[in-house]
Amino acid sequence: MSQTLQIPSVPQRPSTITTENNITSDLVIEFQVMVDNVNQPLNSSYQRAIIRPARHVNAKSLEEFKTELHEIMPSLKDVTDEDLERLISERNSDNVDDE
Amino acid sequence: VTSGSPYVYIDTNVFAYKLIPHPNYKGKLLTKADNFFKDIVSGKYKGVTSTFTELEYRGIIKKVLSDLSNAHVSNLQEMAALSDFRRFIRHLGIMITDADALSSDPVGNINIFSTSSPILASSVPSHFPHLKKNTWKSIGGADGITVNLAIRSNAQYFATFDRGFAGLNNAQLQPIIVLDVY
Repeated sequence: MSQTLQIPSVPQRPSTITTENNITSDLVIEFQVMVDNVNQPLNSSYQRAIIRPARHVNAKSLEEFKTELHEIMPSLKDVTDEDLERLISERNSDNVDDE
Repeated sequence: VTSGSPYVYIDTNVFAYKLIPHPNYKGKLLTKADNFFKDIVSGKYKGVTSTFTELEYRGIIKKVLSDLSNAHVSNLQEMAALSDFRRFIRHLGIMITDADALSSDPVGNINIFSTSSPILASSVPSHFPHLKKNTWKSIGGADGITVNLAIRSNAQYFATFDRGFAGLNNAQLQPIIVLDVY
């Protein structure tokens, strides 16, 4: 008795996919992932997964930036360097900067 | 941004040290983070990060803000912290890539996990004898995925405060340990 092995076909990705990204909903809702040629090297396709490209900014951008959190949580101004370093370093044990 | 500038993928901890409010804005970590971001503003590097970074940042602020106030972080505080993060990235013209889109090969097969294994395999633990504890550092599983996302974002450099990345051994991505370089 013979059996026929059925291999499901792999659906091809459409050349253009438009979707939504709720994570950065206040910035850019729609983005496009374009795959022009599936035979291209991987990196050339991944380049297309860009939600927002890099852009030139004003030289004073860094100094001008103020945080909303500081205004909402003024008690944070009392946090010491050591507190901040310890709290963030606890993200994982390899990240402890204990010089 | 200079067109020929290399891309640097920015790790979550660099944003955390910059954005979480700090007394008098004079701490060592903030200064080093600021010095790094000045290189983004000047155009020495083009900044890039992914939606996975926002996920990690959200995890950090939940813990840090709860710890600082010794209470559950409020929704308002969490939203404010996330807003700071998003506005800062936009403010500095940092590129954002979609981690979901980067998780698959060009025909849609998800392979972000299997292809992260060789990244860990080739990395080597680094020894920092001058530290008081945890003198050996290395990257972990989530770090390997982050490196993979950086490579797939076409970054040439990876900026982080985590010295575990010093042992990253990858021809496509060079670590910049902000703590030591800036």
